[in-house]
Amino acid sequence: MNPSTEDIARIHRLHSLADMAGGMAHEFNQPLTVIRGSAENLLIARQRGWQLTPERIDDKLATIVAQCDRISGLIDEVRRFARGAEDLSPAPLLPADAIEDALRLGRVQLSARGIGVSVEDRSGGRLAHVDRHALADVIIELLRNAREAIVGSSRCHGTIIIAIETADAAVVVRVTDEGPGMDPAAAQAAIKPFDPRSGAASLGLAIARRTIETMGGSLAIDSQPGRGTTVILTLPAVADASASG
Amino acid sequence: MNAPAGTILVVDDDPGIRAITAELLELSGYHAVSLPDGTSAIAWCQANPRGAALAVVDLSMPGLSGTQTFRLLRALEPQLPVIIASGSAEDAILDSLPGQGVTAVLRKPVRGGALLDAVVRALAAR
Repeated sequence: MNPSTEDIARIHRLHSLADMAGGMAHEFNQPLTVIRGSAENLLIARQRGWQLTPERIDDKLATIVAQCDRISGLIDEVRRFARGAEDLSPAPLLPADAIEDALRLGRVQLSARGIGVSVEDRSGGRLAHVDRHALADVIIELLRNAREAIVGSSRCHGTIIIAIETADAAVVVRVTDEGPGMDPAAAQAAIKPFDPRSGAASLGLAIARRTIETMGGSLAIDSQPGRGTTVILTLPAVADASASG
Repeated sequence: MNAPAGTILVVDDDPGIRAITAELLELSGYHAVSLPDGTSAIAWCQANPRGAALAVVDLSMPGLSGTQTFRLLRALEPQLPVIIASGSAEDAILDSLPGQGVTAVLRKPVRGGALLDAVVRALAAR
């Protein structure tokens, strides 16, 4: 008997969950190893009467605090991911408005690093059906990733291009950076939570993807090493293309 | 601080474990050399003949595995004691290692006291 589409979807979800659990275990285990080892080394040193300088003790305690903070940060991200996008209120919106919201918050940090942002709106005023704050949050996350990619590639200057276009029943927003890019496997991993092949340091992209998908859209990455990265948001357009607002 | 000096290679791909292990060995008076993989451990031994008193090697590493690293180290330094640390290998694999000449096998998470005891025993048996 062939498995049904529902069966295949269920198996896919279980595999994704197992991958995520494995990745989570790895992410949590690393700081725990350091916390345990740092504390144990201090304990052994005391028990064996080894002399430790105050600076060394301070350093060990600071390491423990920093690693605990890292775990707290991971837990916050897992909570954000688990909470998903339950508070969303999609409504007809010009994506450019949410992009402007995001730039109002992020432009200073970008310009301080010599990074410019160019918005190219070719959507003809087409409205998307999305939550304004949620889309702005996603754009902020994408701008942060683009900024880190450009800074990480040691470029003093760089430009992030945000293009808004229409395609069938969708409004498409492309955020492109001139960073080092990544191979396709890493690009796919970056939008999955706790995928060990991802170089992403946070769940930000996975959360962004979930937010967009909850609103009926999709998030994809197009990247090649040495050719920068484009994140493609495909947002559901409102049925009446002539509407404006 | 209270042990005889000697250089111990710490070979582990996990930077956290490497740093913690090296620190404990340094605190107890040894000179620890941290190496991220088997290839760099082999290179270190080639560059420093008879420079290491002991190697503590992770079993599961990308590239050369712990057992491959052990065999190559022994080919270079037949007398070098090697302690293997393992987090997930099956008992049958771990049980076979002493028969292959591995000095001691420790299960991860390695307790600091157990590591120091194994180091002292391995160095005393040389």
